[in-house]
Amino acid sequence: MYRNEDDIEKTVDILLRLKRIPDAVSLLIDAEKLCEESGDYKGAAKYLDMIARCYIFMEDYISAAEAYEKTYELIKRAGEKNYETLERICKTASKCYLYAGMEEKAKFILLNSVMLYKEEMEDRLAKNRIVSAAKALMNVAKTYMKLNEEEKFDETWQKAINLHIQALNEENDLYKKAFLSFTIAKHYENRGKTDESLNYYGMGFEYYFKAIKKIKIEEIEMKELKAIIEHLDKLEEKKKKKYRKKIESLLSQKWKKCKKLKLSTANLLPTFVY
Amino acid sequence: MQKTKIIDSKLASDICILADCLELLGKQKDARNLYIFGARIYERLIFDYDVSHLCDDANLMAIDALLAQHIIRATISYLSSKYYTGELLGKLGKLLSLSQKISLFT
Repeated sequence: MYRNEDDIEKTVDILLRLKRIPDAVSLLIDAEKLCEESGDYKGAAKYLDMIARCYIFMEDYISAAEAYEKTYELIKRAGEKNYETLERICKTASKCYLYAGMEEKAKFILLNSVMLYKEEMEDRLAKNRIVSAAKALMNVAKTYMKLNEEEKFDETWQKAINLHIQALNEENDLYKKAFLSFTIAKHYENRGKTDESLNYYGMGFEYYFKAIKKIKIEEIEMKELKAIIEHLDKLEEKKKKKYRKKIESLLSQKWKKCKKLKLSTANLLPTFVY
Repeated sequence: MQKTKIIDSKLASDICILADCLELLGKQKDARNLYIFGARIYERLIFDYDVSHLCDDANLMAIDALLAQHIIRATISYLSSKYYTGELLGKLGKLLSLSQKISLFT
């Protein structure tokens, strides 16, 4: 670990705020070298990741992509299996090569992504985390699409959907079932499969309203209600009306709760409110 | 004081999302009022900070992420209300001049 890690980060932060990006890069390069020399690959990867981001701000996409590639190698050398980070690095490196007009390189990096997602899927399956495995497999499909591999995309997409449906059938929590149904519906929708999509959106609403029967209004997050409303248009007319009424009632209860909390903000209330 | 701020911040966030929900349901008038209400709470949270030093470039770094978030959310809520009265435009002007002080890397 670099001795003055905290100081370095603070100094880099200030340099970036002052938009002195090349100065920040040179400081980060020193820190990265020191870490690498002392065998701290995790620390080196962290600094190199920051360097890559600086190159993006400088619009030097080739250097950014190369820095990301090296970051990827360093993380692997450190023995880390953080799929999320590795996948982000691969995706960003590929995008950087695309911005730099190096399509072949971009595709090559995407192949790394495919391997990673497959590895992640197998890892999740071994741990019986079917939803995560399904998500990883869907990412494999999406990457095949980016690579214009239509046949592989079709085949993988179908497998991923089946895995999602398996997860939905095995799930007991109504709440999780609801959001899983919405995910499946969205995947069908994206592929233009309207009937299946309609069916799973309907299922999602059904599970959701069953699930919230058991909880207090305060426990429902506003963001979640907003997400539900965003799906409302996907339903057939009859169901849309039914669930709209239920949602309006929930919103009205939420507003009543908000009004109870507004003691310190009473003077800020507009003259007429919802 | 700190507790009130946290409650106000959550309240403002909930009210702005409630406004988004009403907007999505086509209830524009109700949504507008809630956007303004939410923005006013954010605005008060902003001016509870000592923002006078933000006019001084030497203290540019003093702006913290939470304050930046409040400034951005208040501005977005006022804009979402689509209620461009002179008073509101004045408030927006003040918020925008503060937002110019927010560093890209906050």
